Amino acid sequence: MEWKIVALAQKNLRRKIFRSLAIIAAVMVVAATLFSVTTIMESVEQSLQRGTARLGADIMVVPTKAETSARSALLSGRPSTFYMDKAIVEQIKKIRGVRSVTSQIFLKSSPYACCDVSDLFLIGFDPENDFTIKPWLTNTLGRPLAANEIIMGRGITAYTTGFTLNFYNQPFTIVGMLEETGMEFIDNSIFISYAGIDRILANAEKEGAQAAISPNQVSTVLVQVDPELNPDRVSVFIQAQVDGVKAIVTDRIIASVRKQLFILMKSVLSVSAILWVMALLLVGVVFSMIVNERRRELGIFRAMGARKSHIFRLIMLEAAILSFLGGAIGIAAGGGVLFLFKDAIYQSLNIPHLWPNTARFVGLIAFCMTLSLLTGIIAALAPAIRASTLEPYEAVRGGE
Amino acid sequence: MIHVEHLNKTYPIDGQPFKAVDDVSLTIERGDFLSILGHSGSGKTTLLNLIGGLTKPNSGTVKIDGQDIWRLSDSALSGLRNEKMNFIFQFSSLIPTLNVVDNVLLPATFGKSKKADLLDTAVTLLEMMGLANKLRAYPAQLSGGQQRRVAICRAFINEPAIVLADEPTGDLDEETERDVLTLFRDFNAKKKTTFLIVTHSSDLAAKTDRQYRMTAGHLELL
Repeated sequence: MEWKIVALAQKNLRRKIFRSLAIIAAVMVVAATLFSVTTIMESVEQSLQRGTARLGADIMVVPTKAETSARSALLSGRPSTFYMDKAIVEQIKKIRGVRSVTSQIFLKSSPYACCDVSDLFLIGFDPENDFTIKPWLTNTLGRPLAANEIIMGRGITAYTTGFTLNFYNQPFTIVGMLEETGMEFIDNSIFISYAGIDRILANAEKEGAQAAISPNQVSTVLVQVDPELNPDRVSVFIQAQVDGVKAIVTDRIIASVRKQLFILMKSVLSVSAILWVMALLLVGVVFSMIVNERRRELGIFRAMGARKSHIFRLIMLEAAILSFLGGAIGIAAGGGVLFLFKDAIYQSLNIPHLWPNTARFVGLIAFCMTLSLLTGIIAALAPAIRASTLEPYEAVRGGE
Repeated sequence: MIHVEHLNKTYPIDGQPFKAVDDVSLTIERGDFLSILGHSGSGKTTLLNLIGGLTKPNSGTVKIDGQDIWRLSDSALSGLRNEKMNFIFQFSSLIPTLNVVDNVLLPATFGKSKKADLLDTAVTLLEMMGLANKLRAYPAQLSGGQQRRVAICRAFINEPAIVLADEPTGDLDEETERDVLTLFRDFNAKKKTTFLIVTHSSDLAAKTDRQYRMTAGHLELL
């Protein structure tokens, strides 16, 4: 009997096509907006998490004077150079709560002829104790980085693996590209081993390098904290015991970015919520009108043997079918818009991937579809109850 | 088969109670072919709907095959209407979103019967009513008389034990009226279908086996 009621519902909807389309459109708008916003929010969250994981460090120690530059470099990826004494690395190693330490040195590629590419971050890292690049090297390259080899961040798209670039007239072969992280600091940088930096320094003075640095300098010390301790506490210890440094907790930077982006997304979600309420009201009003308009018809159904539950199910089915269609079309439309404007979204939000992983994606679709269905079901509930409790003769007379 | 005892029904009209049915008692046996004659507002349609369980009386009982229909659950009463009764309404009672065949098969939508099993019966009835070429038409494409004939076909699709008809030949020509009455008599003779016809036409009433008159809510045997 259920399929007969479904068939009856479908016939009713098809005959009043414009009204059906209006309800589908209302639900579609809600579903499209919600799906787009939640997909972007999920992508931003995944990108930030991936970026933080790629950075690998709980704390980034920089010279106090360079704090602003360092935060800016971390978030924007714009090259900035600052240096401190390498002895600080050993001091930090001894501080309570510090599990492992590695250092990095920053160079900016020169705009002069000595460098093939200018205005890029060249990040020298220590292969012996690095925990940022080494995991990638181990999994992909399978060997240590040679002194004449470099790894590119995924954001530098003009060159590919195998290409040779000159920095300060020293040739370096690109042996790999890091996975995109969404962090400009990593994605727009070139990674060189300390041995490679030494090669550059050996020729830098001759070629007019902008930053004349000594081998006893580092730009930053990256710290991994013991799991039992809070990075905020360890950063306080570092600042208390090492002069002239600022210990930046990386999660705090990510959290502030996340907060700003989510404030923006929440505004859009609020609009979605308003649209949802409006869709609820519209669908509710329309179904109230439908029940009024079909009083006699519903009375005839009861005369022909329809139970109250049949009438209730008929109205709810009509609402569910329209909501389902609106939801499905809305999700497809939302996904289509995201796909069409993906480049603009990547750029404005600085995320490497737009689509969440499969499980989360399916979850988002399920969430949006459920909300779409609920829109119709909630809105049609009161009219459906009213329709099912009409006295058949009153319903039949009411249509006169 | 149908026992009506001391039935009363009052409606509020402009805030004042109006007694549509006043202490009506009636017994209808299986296979009876009877009519209730009366002017508009006499309460005859209300009585028909009380017997059909479409409206609840203020007091009194309606028993069908010994069962008080108002003691039944909604499911049981609906089942009774679906399997044992059918209605021919005074007004156009076709569902506008269904075509002619689907309208005739409407009782099957809410009952245990399968539409496919009743399709032949539906087509045969429609052919008898001269509507063989209108099977896929929608009500808006039919005249008033044609709509009435479709409603009559629907009344017989489930081979009901009881047909409750309100002005069944109201907007039909003489010839079609004769055909309809022949169909009624046919079912009455072959299937022992009980007919209760409500009408304001004394000519139509005269063609039934027993006539009652309804006046201001009171019923009397003629």
